[in-house]
Formats: sequence, C-alpha cells, structure tokens
Amino acid sequence: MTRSAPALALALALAVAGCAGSSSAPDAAAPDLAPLPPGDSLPTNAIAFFHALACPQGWSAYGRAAGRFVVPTPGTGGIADGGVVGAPLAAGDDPAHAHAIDESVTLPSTSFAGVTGCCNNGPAAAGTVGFSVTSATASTNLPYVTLLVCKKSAPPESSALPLPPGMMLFFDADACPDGFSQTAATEGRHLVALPDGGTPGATFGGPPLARGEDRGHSHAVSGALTTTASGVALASGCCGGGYAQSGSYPFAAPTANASSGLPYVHLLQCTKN
Amino acid sequence: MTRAAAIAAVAALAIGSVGTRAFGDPPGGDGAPAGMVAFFNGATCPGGWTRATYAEGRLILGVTSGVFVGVTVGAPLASAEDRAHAHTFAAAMQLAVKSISAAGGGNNSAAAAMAYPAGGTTGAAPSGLPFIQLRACERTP
Repeated sequence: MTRSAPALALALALAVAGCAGSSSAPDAAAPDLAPLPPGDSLPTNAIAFFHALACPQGWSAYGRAAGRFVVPTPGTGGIADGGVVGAPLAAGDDPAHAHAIDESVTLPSTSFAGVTGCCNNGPAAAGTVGFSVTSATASTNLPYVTLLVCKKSAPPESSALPLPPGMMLFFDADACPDGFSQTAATEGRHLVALPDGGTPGATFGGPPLARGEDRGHSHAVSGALTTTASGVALASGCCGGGYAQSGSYPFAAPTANASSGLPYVHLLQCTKN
Repeated sequence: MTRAAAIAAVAALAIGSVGTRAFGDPPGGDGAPAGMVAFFNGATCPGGWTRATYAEGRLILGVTSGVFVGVTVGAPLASAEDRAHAHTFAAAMQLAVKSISAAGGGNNSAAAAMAYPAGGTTGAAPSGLPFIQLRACERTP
C-alpha cells in the first residue's frame, strides 16, 4: 500500500499544526477545507471522484460508494437499494479469496494367488480415494487507487461554463439528465483508467455483469496419485482380490467457483453529449 | 501558522492549486470543479484537464475521507491485461490397508497403503470480471 500527495500532505499539515501548539489529532473530515463559491455546472445528483481532501461546495461525501468500486448499471431504469455487492473495503485492503477443491481417483483391483486376511498390512485396498480441501487464499492482484467520491446536492450554477463533451459522469438517478446519454459501452463493466499507450475503450475480461451479479471464477487443477508398490510373496492370480493396483492415476477437476471479493455499487453512467 | 491555515496551504499544494482560485472553484474552460477526476471517451483529455497518471492501469475505489485519498494497491495493469492469479493447496490421499495372508516379496503389483501427498498449485486464472479501459483525467486548477 502506498499513499500519494493528498494523504501525505494532510499528515504534514497536521504535523505542522501540532508543532504550533494546536491539536494534533487526526481530522479525517478536514472541515477547515470548506470550499468557497462559486459553484459548478454539474447537475444535481451527479457523483464524481475527486483527487482532493474534501468535496467541493455543493457536494458531499457519497457513503454508498465508500470502499467500493463503481460499476455502471446495466440496462435502463433505476436500481433499488440492492445495487451494492460485497462488503466495503478499507483503503489499502487487498481482498483475498479461496476455492474448494475436490479430487478423486479410482484404483483398480489386482489379485494374488493366495488369500486375503492377516497379517501383511502393506497392500492397499482398491477403490476410489480423494481429498476435499480449501486452497490457500490469494488476491486477484487487481490494482486500484483511492479517490474521494462525492455527490452533488446543489443545483448547477447557471453562470458556470458548460461541461466538456465526452465527459462521463455517474448519477444517483433513474435516467440521465438533459444533455447526457447513458454510456452503453461501460454497462456492467469495471472501469480501468487507460494505461499509457493503451487503446481507449478496449474491453477485456469476462462478459458484462448482470445487475447485482457477484461474478465467480475457478481454476484448473491437475495432478496424479503415483503409488509406491507393496511387494507380496505371492504370484498374481486367483483369488485373493481387492488390492489396489500400483500405478499412476491422474486427477483433473477444476476448483469450485469463488468470487474475487471486489465490492461494487451500481450507478447510472452518462456521457455529456 | 494555525492548524487551519496549515491544512489549507498544504492541501492547495496537494491538488496543485495556483493563483487566487480557491479549492472547488470551477476553473476557466468548463464548469467542472478543480480536482475532479472523470473518464472521457477518446485518447486525450480536454483542455483544462490533465491525465490522472496516478490512476492509469488501476480501478478506482471510492473513499469518503480525504486522508485516505491516493492510497494505491497492486501494480498497474498493462493495456487490456486480464490479470491472472493462482492458489496453492495442500492435500493428501490416504490408501487404506487391505491385509493379505502372505509375507512381503517380489510381486509389486499392489499399491502400498499409506498417505500420498497431492498438494500443489492451481492453474492461473483471471478474475472473470469484465473491464473497459477509459482515459481518466483530472480537472486542473
């Protein structure tokens, strides 16, 4: 986990203030940063990220997206309070998950020209054997950066300049406001900031999420049970049967599905026309 | 320096504020507030916006307290990288005893009754989640 300028800057500011004799207690809400007028031209109920210490004037922290990624709502129409999936993360959390693994092999029978019974306990019984375990936990290694998420409560400032075309905004609303259209390409997908040299708008990974879907995944598992022989002083043949035949027996059943544990909230995403 | 002044001064540095414009003022060029981060269709940011390089190759996790802004986890994705991961697991298969009325000897056709280790590492797989990569831009002061 690393921290960039705002978090470090606030820590520095608090340290400076502490040296001056004021309280050095952390002030997470940073109320002293109350922004100043004038307002902006974003519509009411717009939701946006900010690389800042506090929401601008006319905006407030949007708790429903706290500790969550935003996945644009699939389809049209609003979404009920059920639009959140998973438990929110704390900043710096790297969620891990595990998978159930069930594997089995069947060892065929071999027999000896003798009788079963006491007292050589070296050979094994033929039949199906296996194991049921849970894998070690692991992260999906999906990287993120934390940004302040705020919701606009004030009306748009009529004197402010218009917003740039092509700008994508989230809305806590059932439909896009005038001048915006729902962003079809992003519906049901996690949003990744374009890497340097990347292709804008490229989609990858799985198919879009359905509303409220907690997508799972699985892993291939392969291996083999290779036995050690148990020597017996008998020829093979009738009629002491039921002994496991020594050999190598492969297994290859995939793990059970598991969610990656990335919590999200659905929000309507609209693009400025 | 008062605590409030210290916070305001360093916060202005943190978001790159210059001149007399206060935090949250919409800068010239459009009506978006400084520090706002938005996605755009296209390869470049509009005038008055700059690439949010700290976010490139990353998802964005919402936080509601400024002290947690800018925390990063993991290494950025390459373009269209569907990152994979794997899991280790520990396991064993136990072959049960079936006794025989014979001494040990040279016929090795039977498997020995014992526990055989069967652990390892799963195949690597992606999360199965769907993604789209879009230009992220920050409104400059």
